[in-house]
Amino acid sequence: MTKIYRNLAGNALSKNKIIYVPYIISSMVMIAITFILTAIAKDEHLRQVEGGATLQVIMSVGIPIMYVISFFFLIGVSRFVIKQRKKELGVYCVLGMQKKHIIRVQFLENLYVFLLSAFSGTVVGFVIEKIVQLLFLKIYHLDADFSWDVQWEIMLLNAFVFACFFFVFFVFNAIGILISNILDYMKEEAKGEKQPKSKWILAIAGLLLLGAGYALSFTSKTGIEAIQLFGVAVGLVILGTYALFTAGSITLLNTMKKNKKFYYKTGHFISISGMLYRMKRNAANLATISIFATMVLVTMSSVTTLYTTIADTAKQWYASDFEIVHLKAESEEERKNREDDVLEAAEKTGVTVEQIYTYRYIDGFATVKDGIISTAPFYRSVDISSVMIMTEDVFDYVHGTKLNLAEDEIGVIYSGPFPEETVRFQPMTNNYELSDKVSSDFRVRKIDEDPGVNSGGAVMVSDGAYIFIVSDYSVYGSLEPYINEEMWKMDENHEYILVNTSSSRKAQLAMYDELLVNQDKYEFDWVNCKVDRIDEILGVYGGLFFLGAFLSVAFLTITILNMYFSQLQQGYEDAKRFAIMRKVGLTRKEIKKSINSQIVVVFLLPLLVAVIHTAASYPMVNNILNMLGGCEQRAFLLIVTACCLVFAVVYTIAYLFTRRTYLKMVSGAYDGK
Amino acid sequence: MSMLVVKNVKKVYTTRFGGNKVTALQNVNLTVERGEFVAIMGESGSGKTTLLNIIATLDKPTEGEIELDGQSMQSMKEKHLAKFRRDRLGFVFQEFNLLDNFSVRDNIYLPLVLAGCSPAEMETRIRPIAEKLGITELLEKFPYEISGGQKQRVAVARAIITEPEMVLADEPTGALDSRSTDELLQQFSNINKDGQTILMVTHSIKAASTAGRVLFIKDGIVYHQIYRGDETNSEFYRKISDSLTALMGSGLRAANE
Repeated sequence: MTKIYRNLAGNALSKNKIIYVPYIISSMVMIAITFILTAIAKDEHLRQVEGGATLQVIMSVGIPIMYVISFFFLIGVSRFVIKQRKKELGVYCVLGMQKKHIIRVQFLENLYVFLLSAFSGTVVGFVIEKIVQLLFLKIYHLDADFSWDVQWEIMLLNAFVFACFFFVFFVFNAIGILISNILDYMKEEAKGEKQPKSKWILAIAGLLLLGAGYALSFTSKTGIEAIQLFGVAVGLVILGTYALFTAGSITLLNTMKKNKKFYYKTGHFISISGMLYRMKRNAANLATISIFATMVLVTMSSVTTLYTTIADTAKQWYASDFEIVHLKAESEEERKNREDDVLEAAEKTGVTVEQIYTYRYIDGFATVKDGIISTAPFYRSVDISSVMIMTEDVFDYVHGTKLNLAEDEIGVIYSGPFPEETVRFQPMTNNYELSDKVSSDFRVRKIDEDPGVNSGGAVMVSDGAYIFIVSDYSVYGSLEPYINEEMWKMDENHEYILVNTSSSRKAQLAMYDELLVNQDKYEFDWVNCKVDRIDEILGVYGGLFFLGAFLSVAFLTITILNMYFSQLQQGYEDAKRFAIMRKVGLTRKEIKKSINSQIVVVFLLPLLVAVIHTAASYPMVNNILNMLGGCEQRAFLLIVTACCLVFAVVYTIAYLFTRRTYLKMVSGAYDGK
Repeated sequence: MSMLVVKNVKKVYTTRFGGNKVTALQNVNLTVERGEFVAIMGESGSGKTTLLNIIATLDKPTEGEIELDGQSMQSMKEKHLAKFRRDRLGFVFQEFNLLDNFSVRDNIYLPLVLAGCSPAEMETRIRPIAEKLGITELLEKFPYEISGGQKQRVAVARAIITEPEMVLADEPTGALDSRSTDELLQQFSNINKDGQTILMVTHSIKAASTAGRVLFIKDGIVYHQIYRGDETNSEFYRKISDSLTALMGSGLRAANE
């Protein structure tokens, strides 16, 4: 008896290949990705690598996200699968199977799908995880051991989670079977559907929402502003896309239909009616595909850009090999002692010091308007930019320039236009009101230095930020009353020792350890080591890159499967329609043409929309990337284009497969068989 | 000259792997004159739908020839066949075959649109036909909103709007209740009286009794035919029924007579 069930379940899988193979492949991909993320997050070797721990933290953030995505995606697929097979279940019922038998067969089918995808997913995941591990080791140019350890525990745990998922799907199916009359399944035919009505208001709303989203992107000027508004823009674009796909498409088609001269032409007649029908069913689905595709493109291109440019940018962030922060020295002598402490640590670890220098600067926020610099206690709104105030010697030291500023002169570095001839300082109170203290005027000298470079610390200077440079420390000190006290307090009390060396990476790391060990003794507040920081940054961005890549693969899988299944479903219905058309006198060629034009639209539309969305997101994402670590315009543009191309290729291949399956389904009909 | 001539038509189906051969039509000969209403009767599997499909150019005969209006259809290319089909033949099917994404009006327009008719001309053509078939009220509705009988009348309208030389009907009453059947047959006989040639395949005696001539087909051969003459529907009904009882049992013997 059990054998019969096994046979039935096995047969069901092989007979419904066109549904089950994609189902199994998609769960395989999900299982592989979750396994890879977990394995990387738990890897012992990686943990010991500099930056590896950071990467693991980032990966662990991705794990729950992936599980949630997998669950909702796969439950959708499993419901689709069961829907396609309702008729078959009805036949079983007529042939005398009881509900409990059908549920039993269902259980076995779920079990088989699970076993197949869990096995293949784990194997694929294992191989890819090892490749990723190798890549990491190469990236960090480290000598940590590579191992072929098999992470049994993680494999089993991951499989167990998915086993639970599949069990939940099975329970849902079983409940569905229990509460419905299966005999009704047999009669479940495409019932007549209402012709969709034009929805002008929603269509126009969609257009406005989309326009607003795009406008936010195109008008974004600074990174801070972009980050703040990015979520809003994404929300607007998503809503706009759904509205346009559902209401806009149908309104457009209905308008075309109203024009009799246009509508009653062979090609238009069939396509417009066909598209109306398709859009009514698939509009939401197409919108989802577009949005997922956009997510893939934006994620993929930004993480790739960040990752490829970060190493260079990071090197610029840190002008010096070491930066040591300590409380402001009371005297020159004390300052000298501090520097000697650092030199001592260098000597101990065999590091040759080329340069050592102590300096001060303020780093905070302000509104800069009409020649008035109003420093603020903290960042609060988009009106407020980040500003840095430093002395000329620091700037010259870092850039190798010789500005020779006069006492009443101020150097200004700003990416935008700065038309004012003079500026003065007038601080905000801690309640963000303008205080009445006004400094004397400074003559402005615009300096065309790359603002991406800062004076030593890990302070990021993005497009919207200002750097002000005064001639020397006496002028700098005289600014105190005209700077917001919170901001002044935060930075003024500290001094920074910059150290440049000519020693190896390894020696520098040793010196870093030495400085850290003796941090308390030397009374250093903070020690920064460039090579260490860069490793850390590479860890962060490497993690973001891989996480982005895996999420992209997941989104891509979902997108493609979505497209495949929606075409499949359409195929069942279209087959009948094409058979009728042929009987009425359409040639095979005309039918084929009509099929092609319709599926090409269904396929191209999301791709096109995704590319347009991505292009529109470009200014905003560019600003954000600039702030996060700088990105070279040209590199980013190149990577976005490359991502679009790669995506288009993968999508097209998937589409060709889909198309083949679809044509197979409907060709019987128009061949008149 | 006869409107339709079917000469020595044979149709053999081969199973997918070339194993078994099934002969659907052995050797069929028949002619239909202009303005005639001919019914082909036979049981399921007798080959009557195969014959209709071949006449409709939806299927090709293995041997033999078909001429419509003196034009042989064997030599025609697929492209011309499709044009031929939509210009000169009209179809009515058992399962209506209306497109659910078109309104009733657009369903009827379909063959005209394919033929490249202007909207204005389509409008003038549809009006009298819709009136005759009593579907004027339904034109803006969609197939799912109307009954089976109404759907079949829409299908008839679609079949005759191109003013075809011949209407081919495949079990047109098969999916209808008895009242709708009566109405539809009445309409068939009306349009026949207006001069429309109709060839109908059916296994319903009632449907066949509306026709002017009935052909009986069995095992791929036309082995008998009777004419109505001046008889009324009910007299003709009895005659068909008698012929069936007499002949169905005797099988091929009758064909050899």
